[in-house]
Amino acid sequence: MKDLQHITTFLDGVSRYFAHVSKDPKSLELGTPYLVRNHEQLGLDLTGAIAISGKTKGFVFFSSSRALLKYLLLSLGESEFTDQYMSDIVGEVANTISGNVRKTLGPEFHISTPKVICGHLDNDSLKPERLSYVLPLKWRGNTAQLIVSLDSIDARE
Amino acid sequence: MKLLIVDDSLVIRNKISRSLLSRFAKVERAENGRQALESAKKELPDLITMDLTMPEMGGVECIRHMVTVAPKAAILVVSALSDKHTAITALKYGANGFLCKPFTESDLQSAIEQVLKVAGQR
Repeated sequence: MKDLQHITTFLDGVSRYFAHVSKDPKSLELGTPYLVRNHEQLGLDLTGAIAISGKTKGFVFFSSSRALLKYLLLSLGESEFTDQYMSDIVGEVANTISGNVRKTLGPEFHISTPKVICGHLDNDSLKPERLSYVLPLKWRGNTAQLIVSLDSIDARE
Repeated sequence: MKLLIVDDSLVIRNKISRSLLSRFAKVERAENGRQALESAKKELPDLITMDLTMPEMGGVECIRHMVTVAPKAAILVVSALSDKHTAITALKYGANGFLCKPFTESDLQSAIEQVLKVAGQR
């Protein structure tokens, strides 16, 4: 039940973020969240990873196609789409969504600065004993995922 | 008037700069708290927009030092950390206002007006 509350909070965070960058509410399509084992390959083109510490431990990832990041940069007034800008924005989205959930989960939900990963996520971030929730989304037809991998989601239960 | 933008995100620094460029004669940028303190010593900004989660030195620690380095600067925290505890802590250490990310240009302009007004009343 606690997991479901967390996932709803993260879904709200995703909706809030994209509502701020787009005036068209129909531009965001949220898919159905699903659980995966961490040994499955996860991650799209670029991923912003936020380490979580405090009462809850784990990671929150915003993983995106380059196409979505390009549209995001455009909507924020940028005209450069280099790796530097793509990495910056994917980290900033992960940071913003993770930071916003503190309103519900409280100040003990400590977040790190973002680390950017290219391609599939590594074993350092995805502990094999854990499960992760994947929240798929499309924004302006382009794909991204929010991946929530917290110690409360334990595969051994 | 001089503005100092402190944020580890290049895109956010650009966004704030573009939104406020017409209101400030000079705009400086810093990627973390340490750089912000160095810049503030030299430039004595009138307004500082301050992120909280940054590498090397975070925003709360930076604000604690900033109040002695640039005591006349108004400080607007611009952060994704949306809990009340964080906002109260930042205000306790010397910030004048708090704007939660994500934000629109209009949100930013309103927050700047409010913070300059509050700081002018000190």
